[in-house]
Amino acid sequence: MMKKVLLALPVALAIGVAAHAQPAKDPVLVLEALIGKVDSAYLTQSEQNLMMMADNPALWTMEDGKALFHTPRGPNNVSLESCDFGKGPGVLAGAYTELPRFFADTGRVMDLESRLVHCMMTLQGFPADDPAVRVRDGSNSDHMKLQTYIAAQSSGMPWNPPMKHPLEKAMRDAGEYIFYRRSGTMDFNCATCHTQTGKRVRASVLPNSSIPEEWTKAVSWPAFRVGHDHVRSSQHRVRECYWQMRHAVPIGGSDATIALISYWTDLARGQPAILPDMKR
Amino acid sequence: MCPASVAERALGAAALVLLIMLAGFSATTQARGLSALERQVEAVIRDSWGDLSGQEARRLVQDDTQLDCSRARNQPGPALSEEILSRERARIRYPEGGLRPGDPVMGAELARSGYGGRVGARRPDDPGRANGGNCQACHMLEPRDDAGGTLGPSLAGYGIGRGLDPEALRHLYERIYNPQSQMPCSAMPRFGHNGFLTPEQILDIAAYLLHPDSPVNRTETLREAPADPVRPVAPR
Ligand code: HEC
Ligand code: HEC
Repeated sequence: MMKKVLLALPVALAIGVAAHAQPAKDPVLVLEALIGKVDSAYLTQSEQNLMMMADNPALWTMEDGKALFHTPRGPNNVSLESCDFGKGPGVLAGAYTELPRFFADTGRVMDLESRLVHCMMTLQGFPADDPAVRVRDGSNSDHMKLQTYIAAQSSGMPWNPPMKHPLEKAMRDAGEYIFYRRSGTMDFNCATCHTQTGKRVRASVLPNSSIPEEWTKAVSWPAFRVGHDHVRSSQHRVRECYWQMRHAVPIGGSDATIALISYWTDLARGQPAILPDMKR
Repeated sequence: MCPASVAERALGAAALVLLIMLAGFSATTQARGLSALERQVEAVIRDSWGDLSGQEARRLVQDDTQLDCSRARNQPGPALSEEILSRERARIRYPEGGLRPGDPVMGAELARSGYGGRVGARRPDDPGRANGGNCQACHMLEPRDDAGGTLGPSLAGYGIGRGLDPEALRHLYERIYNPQSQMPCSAMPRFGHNGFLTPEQILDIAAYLLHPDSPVNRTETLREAPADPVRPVAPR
């Protein structure tokens, strides 16, 4: 074992790269353990995805994210290593599964994306309209690379968004209100489609928000969306659901989106995150 | 697509103050109309969608039944159920020429099509093109329909024993025009009431579901209802 490491070391040094990025726990194993625990048509709906997950393209996105994260960038030429995602500057292990949370330096409850925007702008000095900050979608965006890397450092850890600060609780409760709020030309709320088990909309099996073992996969973003051929974020999923509900999409990073993400993460509390995941 | 400047503005002090206030209120401080919590979150919602106009803005505003069903989490008690049933019954409008079965072939197309109603900056649906009923998203429509959803019951064989009988046609027209006139807080959209389908389109779909010759009602292909894909989740 030791010998293997010693042999590999010069190779890594020779080609000038750091060790490969790794999810904290193999997402395939996390998912398999959940499948062994509950009988869920949602968790098992795509055999093909289960087989392909070991070669999840999001793993490359994560790898790119690692390089971006540790490279000095922006007008201030600093890396994101001093960005505090809630567990102290530079601490990534378990940080994502404890988001959204209240940050005293901004006085706001922030999700991963809004926290990343904050650090890019304040630490690295990127202006708001720089593509690094502005472009939030697509596997090639800095955002998706960085979010996938940061999130993967919490793979296998239980969702545990803090509820100590009154604003954390308020955002979660606001999210619950929004989840049940019916409106629009289709009279839908999120509960219309996400409070029963094993039901389908056309061919898609719907995850049930009241079964945490099932819901944890639903909220495990970033995930490679096979149908989109891109890695997608939680924020993207919120927008997509409103689009499908025939609503205008909320502003990215707005309080309603963070509230929904607070609530849906709270619903998965205690169950292990699958990061990065692969979805239909 | 999501201009950061707008986002930053929406995330500013106003929303924060609202949420601090919200944290201090309990859901039971019910004033007349909206409770304190409801008013606060409604303000957050307005802020989070930014400057909308026209139908995009209107769609975010709730009507009485949407508000009641949100509060009841889609499980209205007996009194509220009665209230919704009578209110929604009174909202049904009938076509000028009375209720006559429409074109079942057109109806089949409308029952499958999920087109229409998508709004926003990216790829909005063309309001000039006919909306579809998207019934297939939630219902299996024909005996061999593997593409249909299961949020609602299978409609395969729906017309068997009903046919084009005027009472059956009226009942189905009303079910599609306004499901909440039959099932308060139904998951099914109020297609006619919300102006998503025209009365004529509803009659086309009704003809497709009821006509004895429709593929929906072809008994020779009717097989046992497909095994329920719902598998019980092991008790925790
Ligand atoms: C009309 C039905 C419908 C409504 C209403 C709806 N969703 Fe979904 N949702 C879906 C479908 C379909 C999927 C994709 C599931 C799949 O691919 O198996 C999905 C996926 C999701 C997922 C991720 C799971 C996945 O596998 O992609 C989350 C999280 C989610 N929805 C949250 C919400 C929230 C929050 C709302 C309300 C703002 C909402 N949904 C409203 C139908 C709906
Ligand atoms: C978002 C899902 C959804 C959509 C879309 C939908 N339905 Fe339904 N439908 C339901 C549900 C759920 C029920 C079960 C009863 C209830 O809750 O109203 C139902 C019940 C029905 C029934 C009564 C069935 C019975 O056995 O009594 C009919 C008929 C029906 N739907 C027709 C349609 C037609 C026609 C369309 C398209 C124009 C449509 N539905 C679209 C969800 C939906």
